[in-house]
Order: sequence, then structure tokens, then C-alpha cells
Amino acid sequence: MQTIDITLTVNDQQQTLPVKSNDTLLEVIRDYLDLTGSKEGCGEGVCGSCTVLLDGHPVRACLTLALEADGCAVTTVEGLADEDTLSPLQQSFIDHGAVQCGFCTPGMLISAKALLDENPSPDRQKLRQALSGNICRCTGYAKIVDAVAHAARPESGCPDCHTKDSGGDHD
Amino acid sequence: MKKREERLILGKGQYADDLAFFNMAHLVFVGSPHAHARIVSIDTKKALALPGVITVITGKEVAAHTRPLPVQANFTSKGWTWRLADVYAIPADKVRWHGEPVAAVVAEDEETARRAADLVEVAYEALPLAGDLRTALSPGAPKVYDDWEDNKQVHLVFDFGDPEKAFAMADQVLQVTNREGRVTGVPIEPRGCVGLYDTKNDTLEMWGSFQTPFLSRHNIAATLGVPEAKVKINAVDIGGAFGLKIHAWKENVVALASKLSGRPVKWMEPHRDFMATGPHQRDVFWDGTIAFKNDGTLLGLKATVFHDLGVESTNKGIAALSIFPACSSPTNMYKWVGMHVEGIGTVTNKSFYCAYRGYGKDKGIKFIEAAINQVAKKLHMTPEAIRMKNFIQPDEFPYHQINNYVLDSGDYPAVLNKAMEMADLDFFRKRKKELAGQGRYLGIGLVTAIEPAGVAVPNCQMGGITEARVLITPDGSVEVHSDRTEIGQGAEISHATIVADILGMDMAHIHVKRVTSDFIGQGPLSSRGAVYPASAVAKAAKLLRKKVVQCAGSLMKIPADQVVLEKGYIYPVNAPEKKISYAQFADKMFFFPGPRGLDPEILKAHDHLLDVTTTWYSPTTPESGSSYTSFCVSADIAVVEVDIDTGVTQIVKYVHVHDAGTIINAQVVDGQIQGGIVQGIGEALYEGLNYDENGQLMNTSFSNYLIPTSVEAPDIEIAHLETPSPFSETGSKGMGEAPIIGSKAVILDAIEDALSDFGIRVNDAPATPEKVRKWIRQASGQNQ
Amino acid sequence: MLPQFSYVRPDTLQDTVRHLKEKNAAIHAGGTDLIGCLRDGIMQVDKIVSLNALSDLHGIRETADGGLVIGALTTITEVAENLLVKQKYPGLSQGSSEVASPQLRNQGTIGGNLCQKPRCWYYRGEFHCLRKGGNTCYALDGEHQFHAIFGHDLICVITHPSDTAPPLAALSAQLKISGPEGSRTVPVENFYLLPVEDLETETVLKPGEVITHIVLPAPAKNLRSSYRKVRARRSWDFALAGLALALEIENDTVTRGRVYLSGAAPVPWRSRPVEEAITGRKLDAATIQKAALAVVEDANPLPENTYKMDLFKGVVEEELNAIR
Repeated sequence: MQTIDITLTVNDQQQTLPVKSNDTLLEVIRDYLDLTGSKEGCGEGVCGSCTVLLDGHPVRACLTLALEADGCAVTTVEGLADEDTLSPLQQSFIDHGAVQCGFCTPGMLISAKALLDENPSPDRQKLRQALSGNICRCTGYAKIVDAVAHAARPESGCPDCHTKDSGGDHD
Repeated sequence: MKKREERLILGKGQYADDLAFFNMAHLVFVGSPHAHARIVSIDTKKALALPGVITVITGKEVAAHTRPLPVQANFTSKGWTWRLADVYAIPADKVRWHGEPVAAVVAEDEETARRAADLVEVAYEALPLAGDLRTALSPGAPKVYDDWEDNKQVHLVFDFGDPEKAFAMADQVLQVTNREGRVTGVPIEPRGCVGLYDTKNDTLEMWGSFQTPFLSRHNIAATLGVPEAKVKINAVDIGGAFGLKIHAWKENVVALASKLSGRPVKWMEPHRDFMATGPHQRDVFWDGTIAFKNDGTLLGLKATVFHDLGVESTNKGIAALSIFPACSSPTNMYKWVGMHVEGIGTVTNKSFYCAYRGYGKDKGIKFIEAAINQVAKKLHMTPEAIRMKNFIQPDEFPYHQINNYVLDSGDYPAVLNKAMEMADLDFFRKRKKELAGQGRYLGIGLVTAIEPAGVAVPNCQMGGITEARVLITPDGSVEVHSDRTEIGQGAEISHATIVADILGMDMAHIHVKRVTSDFIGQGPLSSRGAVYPASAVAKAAKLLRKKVVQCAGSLMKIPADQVVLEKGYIYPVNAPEKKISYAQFADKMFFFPGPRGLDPEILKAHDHLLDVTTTWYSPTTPESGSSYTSFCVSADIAVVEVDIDTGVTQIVKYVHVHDAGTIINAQVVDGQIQGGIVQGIGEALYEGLNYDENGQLMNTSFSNYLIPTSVEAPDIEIAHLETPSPFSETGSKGMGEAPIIGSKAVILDAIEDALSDFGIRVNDAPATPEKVRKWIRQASGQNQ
Repeated sequence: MLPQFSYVRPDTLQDTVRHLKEKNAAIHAGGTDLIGCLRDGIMQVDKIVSLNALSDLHGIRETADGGLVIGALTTITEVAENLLVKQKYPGLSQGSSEVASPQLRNQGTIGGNLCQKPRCWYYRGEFHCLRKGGNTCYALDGEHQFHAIFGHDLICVITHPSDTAPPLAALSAQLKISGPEGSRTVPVENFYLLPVEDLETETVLKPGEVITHIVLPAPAKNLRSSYRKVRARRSWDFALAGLALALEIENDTVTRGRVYLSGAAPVPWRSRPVEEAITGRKLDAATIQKAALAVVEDANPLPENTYKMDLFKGVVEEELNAIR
């Protein structure tokens, strides 16, 4: 199949990519750019594991044709940290134990970032609503909601949270 | 090197779908459009003609190149029925459920494989269905397995204590029924793996979403007819499992495809296939009679539990085995005189039964909790009063239950009291009365449960097999190996915490290794992580600590009992300034000066390496026959409001008090609790797999198989008590499943309470809006 | 993995229409429904015509008479959060915020929401049903607990999945449509086709036609509107029963009322019996009771969805109480 060149600014890097008409943005990000942080869970836009920012708005990369994203700025989970220095939101996820299996985490982070970019101090209800398009099966959402709430208002501390140092690695 | 969570949060996780190998081919299954049909012929010519297609594997090839799926549980006894069928990963003769694979296409890329899959032409002769339990058990029903007498796969009969005496003592008896619909666990990541058969060495290696690599190796090797020693299975990052990724089945075909093609072969299961051809659970109907005294003393139970196992034999008994704990668990946390429980498992033309958080023990507890709440109502007692009357008391542990369980420890009344205090029961009971006058329906549910954890059962692949290894490397870092895969349940942090505490080390230097089949053990299932693997790791760390102390004493020329290990340093108790780091110590031990720097007596024992491999077994199981080692305790209280016009349930308050013994990592424990509770809420309110009359699963998508999102999940108030288990190495208890048990039961109980004016029994989960409306309609005497 | 198709993104409406006239051409607006349909293989598409370059189709503006014109490509989030929409037509704002999930509302457009394909699990599944050119409605004798109780004529029992069409119809919105024959205006209430009228398409759109704008008339001074959706799960779930109200109320009396149901019928369903029960009356307990009974007057429920009758009764009662 023939390809068409598109221009994407992915995590602040502008790229020209040859894509097929039936490539989704998710396929391009994962397969062409090898940014595998964005996940395919259901492939039909419900689970939210593929959520990325498209020109600042959280969208489903699995339901977005790559051609439709031509000229857009895309932020994936790989674009949140400064090199390996975690963003405050990411750090808050770690501190609150909000990562269990980790599969929904990239999409969840992107939705949370989009929320905080728009509304720096959402209440718990708003926060739950903003994350309602990202399904998590491990955490029951409590620690994720805690983590985002804390990232929004770090000065308020988190009296209800267990912030114990985590450890161990996977190699 | 990064902590696991940091790696994942940077998007650097490596899950099955992220794997890429040089020259990798892709496999796609062709599923049957019929739920029950004979395969008349398969024509693969068109598919093979498509450029890029490497091979097409049908049931014929599978039968020619592999053996039937191996037996995983053969739990027979006199007078019981236990049937298993000879089945292959892809059938050659007939299909038994909708979506069952009839062929696998291997191609250069996934897109080509999918297009070729559509070109595989299969002629079927449709057969009548045994689509549900009633049909499957009726005389002359279509048979799922032709050579069986009927569709009954399992019939187990248990007498615990003295059931006849229990009923003879009773003032009253009460019949109780309970149905749980069919559900599935739905980790967000489906199954997937890459298989690489090395034809030069005749070895097979696989990487993927394997919850139990050691068991998967056994089952895949047995199917392929390759020695296990030539097979290695690697767990990569796993996007949730909950029991659903224990069974290797389609994975066998991936291995075969690699062997036949000589290429690395990748398979990722689409979410819809995972739902339709993946593992299912629950789907039980209980019919029982409970015996009790007028003062609320519980005496006995006679009950039968019917299971719809689907095509269980794909799992060769390991899922049918969950009928055993289903029958045993109604004893829960109370004293009984006797029980007679029968468990019946029937095969139907549905996808197969599996392990999913709960594994049967949930079913008995949910049933008995509902039954006890009925007894309380009948006797005009509160749910807490009847429990307090029947609880095993704190001074009675270890308690030998009538079903052989040896209950390890706990303070059941304290757990319930704490929950009642947090839930402010009196306030909500008053509130319920106030709102009743305003047409609002508040309901309060109360459920208590223990969770049998750490399974060890004879004649199956869950016998209590575990191994752990802890070692110090020449640079002073620590490797921890075990069979406990990280599936999001905190295996790594827990192990790192245990080892760091015992060795007096910083967690940053503890490296919990990824699990492979090189390590013996049945893996994390039945909440055994904190029991078997954690005990084995703790035991290995303690043995290693002994060596460290002995060798450090030798190097420092002081008695071993004067060596202190603390915060990554080793020093004489009287001379902290002479501290050396673990790195310095390891360097001395390995190289400079190396072993010859040690006391010759140590070397003569041939055991000086800082490397311990060990195993662990339950101290109670061998003598008592108790299938489980630890029993964590929980109390759930939920307040719900039901909109009786729309049937929609809203959770107003949720309290959970938990005693899982010594807590290794509070975040991990809370994560298990919160996640489990929300899964249970999903089962109580939304989740149900719907088959249509043709045996096709209708809801195979997240958009119609509804699992809770962040707006349905309530804020959960949690409190912990810590009564150490005397039977595990760390004092902790397995605890991953209790939350899903209590939450489902308590939400249904709360809805029943909310609907008490209508006299409705909420005994058919899930309590969806349409079902709640139907119940109200029926209770109000309206026509259906 | 999507099937193969060609893709064009014309920058004029004229070119758009020209491309859309071709066989098996499909409109891409937000893509959220289209891509899912392609993935499920429920329709054959050879060419995708993206509207993305048509900037005139974006945005919300007030008309001289105080109404609103909403470009068909306006995202559902924009409609839900637009202040003018909130002030003038709360029912539309509420309906928009009930759609799917936040991310899909960011992506999906109001035009696309009106044109989405049914969510019947047989239609979306592997069944060659009536609506896909087959000869059976599998839901009729099968699993139809979520299906229609009105307007199905026992032919095809889908429910229309849109949460924005019922409030738009209640608010007397009009659709501006461009096509090969020029442009035309169709009221939302006449936009949808019942199974008895046409089985294979849900709307009056002809090949080559595309919705360009949605026009809302200036709200009457006493207009009150609302949308209520009953569903099992609060995020990403379709209506079991929904109610859109657009009532003009003077001195507690309903002078004019338009009432549409969602989750009820293959189209957004106008409930004339409820309108009759409340028009010219005070919204007191007796009227509301009457309206609640009236809502199911013409219902034709199937064996497994009679519960919807109660849901509609309950919702009518609760919502009329809330709006009065």
C-alpha cells in the first residue's frame, strides 16, 4: 500500500512520517516511532490505555487516523518526564502507589495531565469525572485519585495516604 | 537501574505487545462462528495463496504434531464423579463453543494474518446446543464431549462434622438460594506472547503474559512433546492477571507455530477474543437449607451448588477443582456442628471456566453470608448480633474447623466492632427510617469473611510448590528469585521489603528478578504470594543473613553474635566506626582476599557462598489436611441508596476493616483491598456475560461488559488490624481475594435491605437496574 | 487493525460532496464511531472523506434573533461546556455531557453524534442482521433487554444511541444539510427513519449529503429544558431510558411542551402522550402522575425489556418534578 507523508510534533520533536491511510495514530506512535508507552487495550476507544494529547486535548489514539493528526502536536507518556526526571504528577503516582500492573498508567497519566493543564485544582468529583474514560482493573482508582489530587495541591499534604518508599526493580 | 514503578510510569514497561524480535512472524486465530458444530472440512488454499502467509495450522496439524492438553487436576475420590476429556488446543473434529479456534494463520505481519484468516474456508455441520445448565443436565441433552455418559463433569460430595446431628438439634431450618451470574476478570491487557523455537538446539523459549511460568512450561512442553528442561518461559511485564493468565492453551499453538515455521512467532489476543474465548468464572446456583437455634446459634447446612463450567476441559480439571473450595468455604468464620455440601459441575457450550480472584472459596462465603443474614431477619436479630454469637473467639486459635481448615489467628469480633464504629451504623439505620417516609430507599449491608489463602491440594498442579533464592553478588547487590510473578499485586516491593528488613539493607540494592520457569513454583495464585513465596523468600533471607553474620564475624575476627547488619552496613556491635558496606563485604568475600580470607572451618562446610536456595511448606497442611495456611479476616459495611423508579444503585458509604496479619507494605495491601472491592462492586452491580440462544457471547466489549470506572468506584474507608499468622514466616497472611468476596456480598445485602419494604430477596447477581425493576415489579404484583 | 481504504481531506464543501457521492464513501468527522465500525467490519468503506479541513463547520455562534448555530464539527465537549448552550439550552448541554467518556467527547463531533450507527450487539457483532442486509432481526427473539419498546414494529428493535438528538429534537433544532442537489434544511425531528421506513439507514441523508450546521431557534422566554439519562454505569454506557424535555412554563402551567425519549426506539422518540398530558396544565402531582402513565401508553415492549416501561414512568415523574 502506498504511503503519504505526514508531519507530527511528538513530544516536542517534529517528525515527517510515511503513513498508510488505514494506520491509526496509535500504530504510528508504537510501530513507527517505537514509543510503546501508549497501550492498546480494547482497540475500540473504551478502555483509555491509548490516550494521548492531540494539540493539548486527550484523545483515543486507537480511534484516530494518523492522517487526521497531520500537522498536530502529540504528547505521549514518554513526553511527560524531563529525561528521566519524573514530572510532579508522575512522582505523585509513585508516592501514592498508584501504579499496580501499570498497563492503564500511561493513559491515566495523560488524562490527568490534560485535566490539570486545564483546571489546576479540581475537586475530587471533577477529578473522578475526568478519569472516567480510563479503565483500571487493579487499583479501584483510589490511589490514582489520591495521586492526582496531591499533584494538584501538593501543599495540602495527604493525611489519608500511605506514602511508604517503594523499592525493588525489574531487570 | 530503575524501580519497576518508575520504569512503568516513564512508559518503559515491556508488556507482551511491546516485544519485537528479528524476523518475527505473527499468528492470528480463526474462530468458529458456531457454538457447537462438527467440522466437515477446512480449505486453507486461498489463505495460503495470499502473499506473506507462512503457514496455516488446523486441528489436523495440531493433532499430528502435539499431544492432548495435559491433565492439571485429577481430584477423584470414591463415589465422586470427575471426568476429563482428551482435547487439543485446536480441535480437528468438532467445535464446542463460539469462537473456539479452528485454525491459526501465521504470516509476515499481523494485517496479512488477519486478512488470510478471513480466507480460511471451513464447512460446519451445526449441532444442537447444550447452551445452559438446565439444557445440559436434561435427559437426552446434546453432549459436549461425545464419549461421556452425560454433561456432568464433576460431582463432589462432602460431609463436614456431623450434619445429621446439626439438623436434629435445630429449632428451625431455612431454605436459601443464591445465583451468581457468569463473569470474567478482564485485565486491561489481554493474553499474548512470543514463542521462539530454536531448531538447532531443539529448545523453546517464550516471553509473554504468563502468570505462572513454571506451570506453563510443564503444560506447553507436555503438549509439544519436548523435554521440560529444553523449554523456558519468561514472564514479561504483565498488564493484570487475576488468575486469568495461569492457563496456557492458545500459547501451545504459538509454540507449535514457531517450531513448524522456524521463526519467532508473536500472538496478541484481541480484547474481544479474550472475552469470548477466554476464561470465565462464577455462574453458580446454590440451593441450601441452614439449620439454627432460636437464639441464633448456627448449627448446620445442607446445600448443593451447581456450576456452569463451559468447556472446562480446556483446563483439564484445574478450574473444576474450584468446586472443592466452593463446597468447603461456607464454614467461613463460625462454629458449626455439621455440613453436607455437594458440588456439581456441568459442561456447556460456553467458553471455559478458569481461576479468577476468589477461585470457589468466594462462592461458599457469599452464599453463607446471605443465608446468615436471612436467618438474622427471621429471628429479628441484627446481622452483627448473629455473627457475634457464632464467631470463633480469639482464644480458640488455632481452630480446627469441621472442614479440616486450621484457622490460624484473628480477632473476629474486634474486626466487626471496628467496622461498625467506622460505619456509624446507628446513624444510618436512623437515616434509613427517616428517608423511608420520603420515598427514598437506603440500605445497609453487613458481611464478614475470612479468606482461605495459600492453596495446597493433592492430585493437581497446586500442591504447594515453591522455591526461593536470595544471593549477594560481588558488588554487594542482592538478587531475589521466586515463583511469584509481578501481576500488579506488589510482589516485587513485598519481596524487596522482606529481604531488606532481614539483611539490614537499603531497598535500592535489592533486585527482585523477573520470574521465569527456571524457578520452581506454582506462582501467585490463591493469594499464596504472602504465604508460600514470601515465606520462602524470608526463609532464604534469614539463612543468608546467618551466613553474612558468620562470614563477617570471621573477617572482623569477632563472634558472629556481635555482628550488626543495619542500613546497608556491617559492623561489630561494640565498634560501629569499623563499619563496612555490603559492597566492601562482598568484595572481601568474593575476590580480595576471597574465600581464603575466611575461617577454614567455614570453608570445610562447603557452604560459604552468599547464596541460598530454599523451599517452604505450610506447617499445618501436612497433618491436618487443611488446603490453606492463612486466613485473613475482613468486615465490609456498605450503605447504598436505590432509586426504585430507575433501579439504579448508588453507594453512599463503604467501610472495610481488614486483618491480614503482619503488613509488609501498607500501600500494597490497600491497593489489593481497593482494587478487589471495586471488582466486587462490578460483579454486584454491572458485570454479567450474556450468551444468546445460539451460544454466542453478546457482550465482548468494554462498552457492553461494564466494569466500574472512576465515577462508580466509591471512596473506601479502610482500617487494619494486625494479628500475625503463626504459620507464615513473616506473620503475614494472603489477602488478595477477601475484598472481592465481601464487597460483592455486602452490596447485594445492602440492596436487599434497601428494598426491605418490598420483601425482595436479592439473590441473583448482578443487580442491574433492569433486574431491580423486575424484582420490584414482581413484588408489587404487577404483570411481567 | 483497520481494513484498507483511500483517504481524502477536501477543503471545500463542493469537493466533499463530490467525493461522498462515490460508492462506499464514508464521512470522517471525529472518527470515534466510524473507526469502531470499520474495525468491527460492519460496513464496507472504500474511501474516507475527512471533513477536518472544513473550518466553517467548527464552532458555535449566536444568531441575530438569539438562537445558536452549531457547526457540525464542533466537538461534543465544546457543546457541553459552551456558556451560551448552558444558558439557553441546558437540556442540550446536559445531553452532551452524558455522551461516552471525556476523551471521546473531545474527539467526537455533534454532527457525528447525530449520525452514529446503532449499538445493538447483534448489529455490532458477527450477525448478518436485517440492518446489514440479512433477513432476521436476531434481537427480536434473542437478547433484547436493552432494545426498543417503541417504534420497532417488530421489524428491527435497535434503540438510537444518541444523547444529543433527543434534546435537539425537543428544542426544535434544524439541520442544515449540503449535498449534490444543493443544500436543504431538515428538522431534527424528521431526520431519523424508522425501520418500517428504511431498514439499512437510520437517517434521511442521501449519498453525498453531509450535515453542516445545527440551528437552534431562539429560546422562548419561559423555556426550560433538561436531559436525564438512566444507565447502569455512569461513564461510557448507553441510555437504558432517557428523557429530553423542552417546556415553556408560564405561571406553573405548561403552555408548550416537547418531550423526547432516548433508549426507547430506533429513533429519538417523541412522546406525544406525555406532551398532551402536560400541555395546558399545571405541573402538579396529578398531572405528573398522569404524564408518567402516559409515557408508556403506546409502548410495545418485548419479553425481556418490560422493565423499561417502569424506567420511563419513573424518569418522567422525577424529571417533571425537577423541572417545575
